[in-house]
Amino acid sequence: MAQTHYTVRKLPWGSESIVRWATEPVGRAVVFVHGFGGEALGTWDQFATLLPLQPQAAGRDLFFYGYDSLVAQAPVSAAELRDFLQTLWTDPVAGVILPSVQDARRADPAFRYNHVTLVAHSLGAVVVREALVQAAMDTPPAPWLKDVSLVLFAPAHTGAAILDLANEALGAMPARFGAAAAAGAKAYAQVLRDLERGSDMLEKLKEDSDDLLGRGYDSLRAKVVVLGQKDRIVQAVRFCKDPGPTIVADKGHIGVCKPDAGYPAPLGYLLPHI
Amino acid sequence: MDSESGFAPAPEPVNPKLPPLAQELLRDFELLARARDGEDAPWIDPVFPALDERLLLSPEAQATNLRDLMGLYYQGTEAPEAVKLFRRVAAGKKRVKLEVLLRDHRDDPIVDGDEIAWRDAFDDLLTCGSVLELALQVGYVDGLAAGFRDEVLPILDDPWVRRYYEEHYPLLLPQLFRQRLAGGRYYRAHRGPRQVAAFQRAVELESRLLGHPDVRRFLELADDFLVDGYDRSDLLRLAAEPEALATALTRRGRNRTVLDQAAGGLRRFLYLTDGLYQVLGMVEGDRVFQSGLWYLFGYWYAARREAVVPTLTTMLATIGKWPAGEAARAGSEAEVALPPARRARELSVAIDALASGEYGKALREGWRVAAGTAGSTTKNTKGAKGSSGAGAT
Repeated sequence: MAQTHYTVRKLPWGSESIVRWATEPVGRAVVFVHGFGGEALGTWDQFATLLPLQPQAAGRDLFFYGYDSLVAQAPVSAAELRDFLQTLWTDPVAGVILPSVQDARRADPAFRYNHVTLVAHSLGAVVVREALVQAAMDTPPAPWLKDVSLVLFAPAHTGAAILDLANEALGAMPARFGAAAAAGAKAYAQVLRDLERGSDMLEKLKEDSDDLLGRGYDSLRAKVVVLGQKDRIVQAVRFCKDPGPTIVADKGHIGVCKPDAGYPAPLGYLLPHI
Repeated sequence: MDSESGFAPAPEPVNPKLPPLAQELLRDFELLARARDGEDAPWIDPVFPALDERLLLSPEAQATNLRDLMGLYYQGTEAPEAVKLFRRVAAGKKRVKLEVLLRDHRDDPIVDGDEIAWRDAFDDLLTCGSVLELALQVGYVDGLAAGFRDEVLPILDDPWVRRYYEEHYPLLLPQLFRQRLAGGRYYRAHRGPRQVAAFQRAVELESRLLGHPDVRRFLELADDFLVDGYDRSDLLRLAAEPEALATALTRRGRNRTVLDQAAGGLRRFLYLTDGLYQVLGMVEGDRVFQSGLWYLFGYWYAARREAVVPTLTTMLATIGKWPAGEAARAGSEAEVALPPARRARELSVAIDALASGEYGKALREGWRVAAGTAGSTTKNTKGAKGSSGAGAT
């Protein structure tokens, strides 16, 4: 086995985003998008360490995209993510690679991505879907949409139990910080309102997604939707034409997307789609 | 909702309203679609390389790794300022006594702005040396940049600098690095995929979390520094006030106080603790390299344990006693209440293990043994070219 990825680098997109560049790039990228109260890398725990050990991950650039999930509204975060994805496709070297690596190893001006897998958790699924919808509704529509795959962990795209989700936001901090959420929720009320089941934003997202799926935007259909058996925050309701959820036992909303040596499921479900 | 309730395993994406034949057709159709997309496997077994597996690293990859580390820990930090200052002092062009500058802050507090900045620069240089030492041990890099050894060795050899990192703030990795640069014995770890992955993760934890300004702020207060009128007692008081803590964590922009920063730093330091414990678990069985990785962070868990660890454990214990509020009640039967509680236990285990000093033994004892016998170290015949020298692991 050879070294497949360099150590982490800052990515000048989003908020505190991180990237692990492939040593032998093959034009494929995996973009991880965290959920409410999450963190670019922290949400995914050992993904950034264990994924490069998998033969299927060789050559894939691994992006851990961060955004201000506590305060910024989901459509705003989505617009920023859309801009990042657009640049990733249209101007990857000057717009994304060189500002991060700052040397000649990836300076080939002809380099382009031919496939991007978007991996999202919780609110991240809403942000990703909204970003794709915005890209499809651009004039002209983004041509790269057909080369995108979606892998979703505990997606909040059909709404969430927002009080519990608020609890989770600070609960993501180890220990009982979640109990502070009732107070903290004041600061991020709009984000939570957007995630309430049946909210205007989610209804619009579903309506637009249905419309785009009907017009052939098949990449809006998730490849796999993974839910923890103990998740009480999001519903196991299928979104548009998504496949039914794949359930993992003994995992809740937070832990479902965090692989380790004893819980390889997140890796196992992602690997076929990168 | 009891703990047994929840989603039942039902992975097959079929519509239960459809008759069985239609369900079969639908399933076949989906399988066909997956095969068409080249994704007929819904699952691929992940691999976890054995600890003794070997990782191949091309000279080009090692050279790039070195550039990355130097960019992150040298050019991207204040370390060059320490080199410049040392040169000017040695040439008699700067009237700074290293004996005074690099004193123990517990004997004579550091309050002068220039002194703080210069000491930070020396700290950055020592961190750079520590990371390079580990990188050389595991073969992540094969030697150092031209001229770097000649630039750094005189600094690490200086008696006042040595007193700084050997006595006042004892750090083992810079001592090993100095010995390596001086052509002395050095340790070579097994270069396996798990060791290198653990090293890369340690670099990520160090640079992204330990090096984060919020974490530095938390550690300052936890270490009982007085910053803008705040000290450790304010940190402990914050842990007792859930609403104040939540507000501190969510305040943005210029309104953030030192205490807000420290609250954010606590959060990141807990992530660091969790992550470091996992990293050490990845190389369980390779005790010496595991020990080396621990030393990259060990100062805060060992040398400063009497200040930082009690602050951490007191805050966690205080938070653990919070009365169940509305949100907590809402979540008490939900899974969200479980992982934090479980993680609190896991964190306590991690903190205890990291602060016990056990992780530090293997490398420290190996180094002492090596002073008298060959042990697990190798005579460095190539100076800064370190780990490429011949010798047993």
